[in-house]
Amino acid sequence: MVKFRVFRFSPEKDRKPRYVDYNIEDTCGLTVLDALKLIKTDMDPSLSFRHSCRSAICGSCAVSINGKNMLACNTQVDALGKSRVVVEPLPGYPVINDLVVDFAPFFGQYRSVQPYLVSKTAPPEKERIQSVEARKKYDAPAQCIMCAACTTSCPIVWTDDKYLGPAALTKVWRFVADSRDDITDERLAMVNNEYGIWRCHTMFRCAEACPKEIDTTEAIENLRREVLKRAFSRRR
Amino acid sequence: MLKQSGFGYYVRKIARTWKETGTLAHIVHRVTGILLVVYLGVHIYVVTQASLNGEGYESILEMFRDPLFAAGELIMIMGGLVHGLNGIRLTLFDMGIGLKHQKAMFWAFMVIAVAVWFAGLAIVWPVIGGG
Ligand code: HEM
Repeated sequence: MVKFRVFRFSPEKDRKPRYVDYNIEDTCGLTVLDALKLIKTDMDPSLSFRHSCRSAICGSCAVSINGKNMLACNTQVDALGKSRVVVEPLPGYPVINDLVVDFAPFFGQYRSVQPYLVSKTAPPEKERIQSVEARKKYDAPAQCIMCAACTTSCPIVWTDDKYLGPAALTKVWRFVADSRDDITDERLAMVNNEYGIWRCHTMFRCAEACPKEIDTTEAIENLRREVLKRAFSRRR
Repeated sequence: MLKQSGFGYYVRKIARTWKETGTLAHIVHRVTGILLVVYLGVHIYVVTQASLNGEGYESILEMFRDPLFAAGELIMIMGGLVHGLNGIRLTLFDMGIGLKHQKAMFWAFMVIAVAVWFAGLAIVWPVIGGG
């Protein structure tokens, strides 16, 4: 039997969060998302959480499981090896209801970094050709599903809502590393300040939280070196 | 909506996950950094005052020999070593070195800190009146 201790908060009723225990007898083959759905259908229909694809693609079911940000759909209960599983909303952002947090700051910051390819050459007839080698440079950051596990794991994000955070910064690196993108200077200028790359304290929490194993910390460090490289070569 | 941010939230939440090596390194670095600022401030003030009045100088040196005071100094030296060595670790990451081995690097630098501390202790032991 596994005891699920679930964070509950209803803005109409509660002033403080409550933790409610739900016991599930047989967890064989269950993911944490399956468990939450079981709790909702069989024990407490008022439980709120986000989910959609069940296969680690949509990025909507990220929650804190035993203190670590993970995708609920991608985490086997038995693999946690614990008789008590604490499920809480992602940290850092305001809680709307139970496990549902307000992503407005996350997407606000994401939109602010021009998260799309900007090319100054005329559109070609078919596609913009890129070598396999050049594509490899951003293979990892291109895997991002925007679940916010990284950004909400970052203590700097918890204390400063202006900090771009690892997801938005990794997106910047994804386009800086893309040979087809033509606004590298603008992108670097955008993050070369105290709310961008220089705010990171290199705790590696973001990279450890990423369900797609993107090294977000490395992406931020890559941007730092790119900025410095350009600053020094310009001076010479 | 229930707020999940701010300084108090940071302290409570980070205290719950201190066992993550990268987080532990951050906590240790921040605490030793603040301790160093406070300590060096007081230290410079005291030594300056002492050197300004000739008679008090000896008595202040006498205070430095107090075992409790010496123990405090030794703790501060450990703090300085830990902060400095972890600072080098963080700088190496900025240079693109060792990002994939951050945990091992933290513990390796801490072993160096302890080793240097003991070597230093062996040197100053006679001076602080231990031997
Ligand atoms: C041995 C030489 C030193 C090195 C290599 C070093 C390195 C560093 C580095 C890399 C950081 C940034 C850490 C981060 O990004 O979280 C830092 C922060 C800091 N250092 Fe040092 N440091 C040294 C000596 C000192 C001394 C002597 C003091 C005190 C007078 C000091 C006080 C601080 C403080 C207060 C912080 C801010 C801590 C924080 O925000 O978490 N450091 N140091």
